[in-house]
Amino acid sequence: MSRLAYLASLALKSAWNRRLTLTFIALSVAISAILLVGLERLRGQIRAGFVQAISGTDLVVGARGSQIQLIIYAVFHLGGATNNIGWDTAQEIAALPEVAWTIPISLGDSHRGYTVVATSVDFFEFFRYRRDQKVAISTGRVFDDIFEVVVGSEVARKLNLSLADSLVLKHGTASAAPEHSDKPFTVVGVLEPTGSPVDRSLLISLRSMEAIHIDWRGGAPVPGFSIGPDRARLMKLEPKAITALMVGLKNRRQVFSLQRSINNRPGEALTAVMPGVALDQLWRLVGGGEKVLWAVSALVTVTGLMGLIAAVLAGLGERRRELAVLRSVGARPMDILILLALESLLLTAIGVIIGLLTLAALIYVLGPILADLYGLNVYLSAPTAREMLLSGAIIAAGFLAGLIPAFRAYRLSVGDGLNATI
Amino acid sequence: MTEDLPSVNNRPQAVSIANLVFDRPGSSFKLSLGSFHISAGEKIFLYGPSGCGKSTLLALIAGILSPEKGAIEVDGKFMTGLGGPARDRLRGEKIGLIFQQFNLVPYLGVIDNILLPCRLNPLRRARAEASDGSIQKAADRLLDRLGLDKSLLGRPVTELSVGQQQRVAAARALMGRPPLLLADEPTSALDSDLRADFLDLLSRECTLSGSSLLFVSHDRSLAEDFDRRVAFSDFSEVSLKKPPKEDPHE
Repeated sequence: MSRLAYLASLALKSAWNRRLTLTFIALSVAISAILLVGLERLRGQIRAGFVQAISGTDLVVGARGSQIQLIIYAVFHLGGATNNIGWDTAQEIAALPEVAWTIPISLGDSHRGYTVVATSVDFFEFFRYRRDQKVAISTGRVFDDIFEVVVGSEVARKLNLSLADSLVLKHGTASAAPEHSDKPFTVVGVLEPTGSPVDRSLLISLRSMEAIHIDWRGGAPVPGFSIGPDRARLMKLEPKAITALMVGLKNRRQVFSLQRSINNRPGEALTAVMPGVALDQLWRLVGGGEKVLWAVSALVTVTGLMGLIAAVLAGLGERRRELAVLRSVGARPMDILILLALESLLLTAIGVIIGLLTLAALIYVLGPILADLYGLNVYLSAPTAREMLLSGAIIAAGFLAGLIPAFRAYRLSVGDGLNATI
Repeated sequence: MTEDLPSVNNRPQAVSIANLVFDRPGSSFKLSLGSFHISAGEKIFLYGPSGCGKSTLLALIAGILSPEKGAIEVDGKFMTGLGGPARDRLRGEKIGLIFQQFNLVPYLGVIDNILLPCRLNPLRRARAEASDGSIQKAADRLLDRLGLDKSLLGRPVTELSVGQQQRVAAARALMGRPPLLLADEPTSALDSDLRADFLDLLSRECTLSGSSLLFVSHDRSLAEDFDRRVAFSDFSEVSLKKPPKEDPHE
């Protein structure tokens, strides 16, 4: 057994001997790890989730306004509603020579807290997430007739919906919003999970959207005027306006020129957004708050490490005799230093491991809640390089902090000689 | 055996001290010592009142303290003139130490405490392996000879009686047959009826392993069985230094 390995085994036994005290130090290190690595996990996975959800789309076109608002409303169903764009404008864009495909999106209705997305069957053909994944049907089929709905995997699971079930949409998202109870929908398809906002959406056709609002004016049913579903079915149900248009290009290199030409288009004032660019703007926006969280977490870590230093220093008082015994059998002062440093290293390493395991448990429990409440996807996964780096940095900081009591022990063991035992 | 146990005649002296002066700044006394020798295998009883500087002498021989002047040899090797780590190594190889009490590392078991010198010093380990086959066997043999029951092995050392702890400390000091054992009042924490027993064991085992013994005590009733009895004051001079502010008028 090498000397270092032997000292490590001594450090282990010594730490085990004082496990009650040291447990609390390890726990304070664990809390630091939970905060720092957890923050990194949230940051990384939320960003990746946003990027992946829209990765196959080159441009999102909506009414003139904030790029960030357009993206997070039209794609992620968060934030405030934007103005609509005309259906004729959308069709003109779809007909541009650079455009390979378009997916119209019309929002505004909901069902029990889940967003209703009116779109065309092109959605199933062209929408991509995680670079090249199509949205697949798990059971049933794509909507065809009006009053048919395809539900996202989470909607189906949480609301216990299956094929042929009937449901009623609500106008708007407020809990007191009026319902389209006269025109119930039938579930015709359930989607596979995608890990994107699609999971929390109900997909209907633009015609359906038109149909349920045909006897409405200004956001409310017109009193004394009602068109039943069967009559609505016979009417011309061309949409007048949509919320946004997702655009895929034949050649991605044309994205800048097309964006410019859409933004400068005469007629209706439009905004064409490159999703990646808008998300970068969003991250810059939340970056300030992120920095505050990092600073607080770093302070908690420093506090934890100061606790470690204090506890190991305090323990040295009762350990002077033990250290002198080790010296008497031939341990060098440097051995004493290594022994103490290894103990702090061990302690922080155990703390970080406890922290990572606790974090995994927290993510397991809280991940679904985050997804429910905020549509954020945070899930268990192997640690990323940055997370490993952070964990390593905590352990390194613990080792460095441990050098303070270790040097103290070194100096004591030189100065004490054997007197501490005699 | 790879290392023969040489006859007493051709072995270097266990301890040889000449013209020693220890005068550490800040310490309350100055220790001067003209000449002091321990032959190989010799057992010496060193007596003197408490606080007379006996422990300082042991720390100097063990290389834990360094003298300002003079030379100390242990088993033919100069302890003086060496750097700290070299002194630590020489101590580990040549010397077994037994203190008055609290000899044991509290978080190690009996066997692990006994094995400490062999873990930290390859030479001690090699000697134990050479004589007993393995360090475990060497520890078992010493435990057996020192009358320590095997049932004690599983217990934390802090639960042993003081007498048992001192015997474990003796076993540790004897591991790997060091040429020199330094014992600093090892019996003063024991009940009087246990003292003679412990002394007998220690003396017997030193003879068996060929180790010299420097046994320090203030209790002259223990001195009978030693080869030589030395009064600390006979060969050394301890002068108390005046504390700096003893007399404000001076």
